[in-house]
Amino acid sequence: MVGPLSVPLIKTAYAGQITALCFVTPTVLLAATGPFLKVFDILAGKIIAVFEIFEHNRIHGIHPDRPPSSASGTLQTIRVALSGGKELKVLRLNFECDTITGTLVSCEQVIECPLRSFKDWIKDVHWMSADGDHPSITLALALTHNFVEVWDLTAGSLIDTVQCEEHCILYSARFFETGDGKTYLASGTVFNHVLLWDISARNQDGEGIIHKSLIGHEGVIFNIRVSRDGKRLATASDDRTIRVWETDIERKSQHICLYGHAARIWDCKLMGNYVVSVAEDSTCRVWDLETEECIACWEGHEGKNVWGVDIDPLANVVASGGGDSGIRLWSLTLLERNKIDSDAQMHQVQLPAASEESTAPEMVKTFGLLDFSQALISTTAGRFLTSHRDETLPMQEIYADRDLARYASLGTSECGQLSVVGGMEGQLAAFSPTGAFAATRWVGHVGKVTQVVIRSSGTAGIWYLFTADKNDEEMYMSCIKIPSEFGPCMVDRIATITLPEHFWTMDIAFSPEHQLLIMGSRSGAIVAYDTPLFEAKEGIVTEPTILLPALVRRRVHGKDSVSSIAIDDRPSIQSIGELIFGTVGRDGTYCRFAMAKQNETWTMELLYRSKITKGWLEKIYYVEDMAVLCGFYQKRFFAYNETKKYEMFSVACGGGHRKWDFRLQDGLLNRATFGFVRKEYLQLIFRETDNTQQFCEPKLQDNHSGNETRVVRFIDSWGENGDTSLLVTSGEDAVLRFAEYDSRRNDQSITNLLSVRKHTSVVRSIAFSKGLSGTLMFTAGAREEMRCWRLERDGDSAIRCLDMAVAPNASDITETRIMDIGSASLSALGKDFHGRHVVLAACSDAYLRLWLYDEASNEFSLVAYSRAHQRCVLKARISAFAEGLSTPAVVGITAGTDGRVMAWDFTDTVKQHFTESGSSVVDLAQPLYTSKVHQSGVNALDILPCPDSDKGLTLLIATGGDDNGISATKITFCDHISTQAGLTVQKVVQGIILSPHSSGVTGITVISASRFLTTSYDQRINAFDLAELSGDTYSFICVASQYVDVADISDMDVRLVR
Amino acid sequence: MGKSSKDKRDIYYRAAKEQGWRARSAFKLLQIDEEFDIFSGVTRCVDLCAAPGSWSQVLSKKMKSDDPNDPAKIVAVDLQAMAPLPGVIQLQGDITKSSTAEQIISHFEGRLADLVVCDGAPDVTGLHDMDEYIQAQLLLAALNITTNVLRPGGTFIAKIFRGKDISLLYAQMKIFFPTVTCSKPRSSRNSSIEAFIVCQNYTPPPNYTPTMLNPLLDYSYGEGNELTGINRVIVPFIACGDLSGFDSDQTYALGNAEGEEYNVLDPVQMPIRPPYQTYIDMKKRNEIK
Ligand SMILES: C[S@@+](CC[C@H](N)C(=O)[O-])C[C@H]1O[C@@H](n2cnc3c(N)ncnc32)[C@H](O)[C@@H]1O
Repeated sequence: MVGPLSVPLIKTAYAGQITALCFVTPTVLLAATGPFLKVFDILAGKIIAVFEIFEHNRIHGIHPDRPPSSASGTLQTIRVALSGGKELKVLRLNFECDTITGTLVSCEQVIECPLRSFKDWIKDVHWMSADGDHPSITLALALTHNFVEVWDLTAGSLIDTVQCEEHCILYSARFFETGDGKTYLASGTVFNHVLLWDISARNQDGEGIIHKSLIGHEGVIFNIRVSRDGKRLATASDDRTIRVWETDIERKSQHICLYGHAARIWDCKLMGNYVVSVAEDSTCRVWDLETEECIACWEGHEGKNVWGVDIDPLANVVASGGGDSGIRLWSLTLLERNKIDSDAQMHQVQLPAASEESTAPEMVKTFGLLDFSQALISTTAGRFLTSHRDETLPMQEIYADRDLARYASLGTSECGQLSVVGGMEGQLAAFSPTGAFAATRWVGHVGKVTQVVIRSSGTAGIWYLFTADKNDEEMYMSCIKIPSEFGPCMVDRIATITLPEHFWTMDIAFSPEHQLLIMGSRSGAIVAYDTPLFEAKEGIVTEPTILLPALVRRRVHGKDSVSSIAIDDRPSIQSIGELIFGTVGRDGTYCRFAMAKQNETWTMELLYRSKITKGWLEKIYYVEDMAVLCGFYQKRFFAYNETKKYEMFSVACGGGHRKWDFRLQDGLLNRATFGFVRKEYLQLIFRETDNTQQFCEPKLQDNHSGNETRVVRFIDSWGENGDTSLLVTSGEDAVLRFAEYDSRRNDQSITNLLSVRKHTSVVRSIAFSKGLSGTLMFTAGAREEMRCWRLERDGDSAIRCLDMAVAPNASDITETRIMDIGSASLSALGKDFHGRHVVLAACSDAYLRLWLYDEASNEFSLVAYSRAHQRCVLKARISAFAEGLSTPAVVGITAGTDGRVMAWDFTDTVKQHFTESGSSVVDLAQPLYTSKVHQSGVNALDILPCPDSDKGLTLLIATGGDDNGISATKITFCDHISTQAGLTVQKVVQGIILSPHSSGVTGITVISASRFLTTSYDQRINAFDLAELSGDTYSFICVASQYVDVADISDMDVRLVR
Repeated sequence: MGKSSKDKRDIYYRAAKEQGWRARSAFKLLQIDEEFDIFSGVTRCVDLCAAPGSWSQVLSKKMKSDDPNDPAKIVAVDLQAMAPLPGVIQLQGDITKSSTAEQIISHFEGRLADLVVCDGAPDVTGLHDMDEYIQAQLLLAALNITTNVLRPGGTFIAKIFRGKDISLLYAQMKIFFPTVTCSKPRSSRNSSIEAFIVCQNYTPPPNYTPTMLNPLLDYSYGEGNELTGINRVIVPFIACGDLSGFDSDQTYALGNAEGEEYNVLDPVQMPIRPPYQTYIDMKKRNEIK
């Protein structure tokens, strides 16, 4: 039995929308998420304090009593008014900073004005006592029905109230002060206007006078922001524009209109010449008001919506807060560094002045980067020069050959020690820009050398060279070695590579570990070759080996070029014997593959595929733990961090046809060099670590789902100690997210462990079953998609989610949604049933379907179905029971939009499925028991076996309906060995309450034979105790009710911790 | 998503197109009528938040005046422009704005309305608390207009989001109507928080003088009645519409059993110009970067 429920619910963790962000110094950021106010130090990248502000509401506005301080580390105290719905609370925050580093050490709250409720939803708050340290708190509140109340909250008295002469409802309002010290309100109406009205002036009816109407928007105004000097106003709208207006009442100003966001815009902040906006398209954009151009589009949030945005007082950093609960930091100052638009941001390499004998000046033909500051240039005079970033260092001629003036195909090694050039007549030359050896020249091909690629052999001083001529039916592989004493390098042709048909090589990757060559073609194919271990035999010329393809895979990137291949040899991601590599293509797609050798043959498996750009991808790098992809889109070169999912760097270079090269040291491009040839000049851009660090990590707070969560489950088999719990959630984003909640943490957050993206549409239900090894998890949702996974522990707190199987479609209608599933292991039925599971699916095509899952074959098979509900089936639970019965039974409970619950005995159906091999799918006509418990849809169902007599199986079934009601039904089933007729219903105890909630019930959990918890859209969590009355009925006693702050609760799970 | 996929997932969407309704909402009003018989004796009606106009279509079909000299009167109001409908007076305006309310009232001076309906829903943002609040304000604005135009004994029906403050709204309706029911038509999705309050037998409190000057701001909770306790205002809930009729949550196959090809119909009324129309036009002309 459980004891009385007297303790109120305590909020301990929250992952939800970030509704407001506010910098109070360049490094201290306040964030509103749900009922919590969080205090971060962005330089330390840490959360310093969390305060719970509201009980039933979320915070919508943070209003400090003074403008942000522009010095970090000096701030001692501020007061902030926090608004949420109709409620307001004022806090004093006292800060303590480290005297040396200036970072925030602690932050304490003092409640200056306890929570107060007002007449109407608060849209904005204005501190009337201009002096920030004025002891009393006088606030003007802008309220949704376009009126203002001025309160002295210290005295608790209403000083003034004024209704604007336009009576209407507002979506947004913002106070501002004009030069003459007057306070105005800018009101955004549903009729697309922004009204500027003086809150102290009155017309003859005693109402506030509108001085200016800003007309132009074609949709509702969602937000209004004012520049620091009060002169300009930016508005964000439903019409997908941001407009910037002058507040000056006297002037009939033109406004600036900014188009670019692909959906509704929620907020926009003004700072100097910038506007920073956030929108429903989940991006944050920066606009330059002078050029009226969007100069950055940051995509760092998942799902829909970014709600919160602020700019630090020094205009260096932007913080954005997503609907996904993530907080991202972006550098405004680095924008210039990350987006190269003008020649002033580039270095143009100057070739030495033309010599006397040549008439035309010497120009750049092609080039290669040797390191971060040096380039090797081939010129129109057939010379090969090194140029250094430091222009005081003279250019050096490394090699010259007049025959290479017209055409040269150049390759350089990654280390910069070796360059090879190919010419028109098949000639090749190898030389060393670093002077490691003397040049060697030979004729390698008959025709024009079209390809020169150098790859490291894995041994220092030895490289592999791949060359092809224009006939290109085969490629040559040569070995180049630095001689032991200074002299010409040694070149040996070691292999002839036979290319598959129609294979024009684009890129080559070589894995020294696996001795494997992988090449990509111009028409989307990949080919792999095993290479023998080439012993470098000095001076001995041997016949080249002939290499034949070990594996060919066509159309990897559609019909487009596989432009780059890179082997991912980071030790953390591979398993033994496996080779992981990535490819990018001109279809704008990035792929990851795993290759493994079994019985001497290679197999290749696609691990991941993602479309990155509408343009081309040209190069892929694996650096540190990140994947960096480079490409061209709309005449720009860009470098995209695939791991962190954002564009790091882009250059207006004119397009992808250019000769270009890129070097990077780290995944975030702290050090990198990009070069390209334009009009026969070499342009270089150098990136160096920026020492003026503004923040620690771009991700200040990790994100969760940015879409509606439809299902949440504790994974029970985990965390025996009770301090931590493992959760899995999913919903509209179709991603399964595993997260850990640790009750010992005090930052009100959960830790993301793993996200699994495999479902293609909404996931509505998750069910577990105990497998032979580990826990089986079943997931199901829209498009009739149902999957089985095996969960494995990976170390102490990590989890692995292995994809086991996907169920075939059973409905004739592809749009059928699986609304809910229940699952159970059949091991209670006996030894023969070990490793076998049942899954009961409630489907939108009015069917319930019983599936069997076999761990041995990893297959789903359909056992039975029924149309008994005749309407959309919403809920399903199933279990196998042995206790109290002479033979174990499989019992299912279903419910639908018909308001009925049904109980099913599936025992025989399941058993027959195994005895009669290949047996057909059973159409189950009628359930064992039916009862109409709701007027309409049953949206919550839970069952619990509760043995209360020595004979029979007793199940407590609790339901919650869209009709606001809940029901409890206790059924005792009996079986009869003599007749073998299966279960019969022996006794039913039932009770229904009509309106325990004011809205549809969305969650119910039975926690004992006499108690359950419910949730509803009315934002209450209730606990009920059941009392059995005479006449086999139940009465309900509401033992606890809590009004929570989560609007639109869609699911609930309960974990009992002993 | 295929063109027919919405037809399979939403039977009422399909039925609306087949039966010539401008929106699937028409079925909601029809099902409310099945349960409450709201049109009998009704000849004068206000349709608030009416665009694209399927409720107005239902109203003009159901309200027939026997007296040719005194035809049925329907005044329909919305923020959005609405394609004309014969016999329906249309106003474009914000119902929360006093000038719009006055305009509506002017049509019923001398003779009050028998029925006021409001299907108002805000442009939902995804911040549920805010959306529910704005929706409640639309409902209160509609009630405010109702107290000015409805005859005693008349009926008021309005969409309501069943959020956290629904009990407060019930309490406010009960000041003016002795019979208040929360009803959900089967054509409204089971999972949606939408429902309709049916307020019958308009009986304003004694000495109540309707005014448009003050918005009817919703109450706040008094001490201790915010829980599920006895003080909470409870109104009966009725699911309306025939249980053997269509199920809005069910997925249906298209076409008939003979496998005849299914014909996807176009919506009866194309959407009115959305706020982002200019964006779409510019995008088509490649003017958006
Ligand atoms: C669900 S639709 C109504 C559908 C309508 N009953 C029908 O059957 O065609 C909701 C309507 O409310 C309108 N609306 C929202 N806010 C409004 C306001 N403040 N004043 C007037 N109409 C409003 C919207 O423009 C929208 O057309």
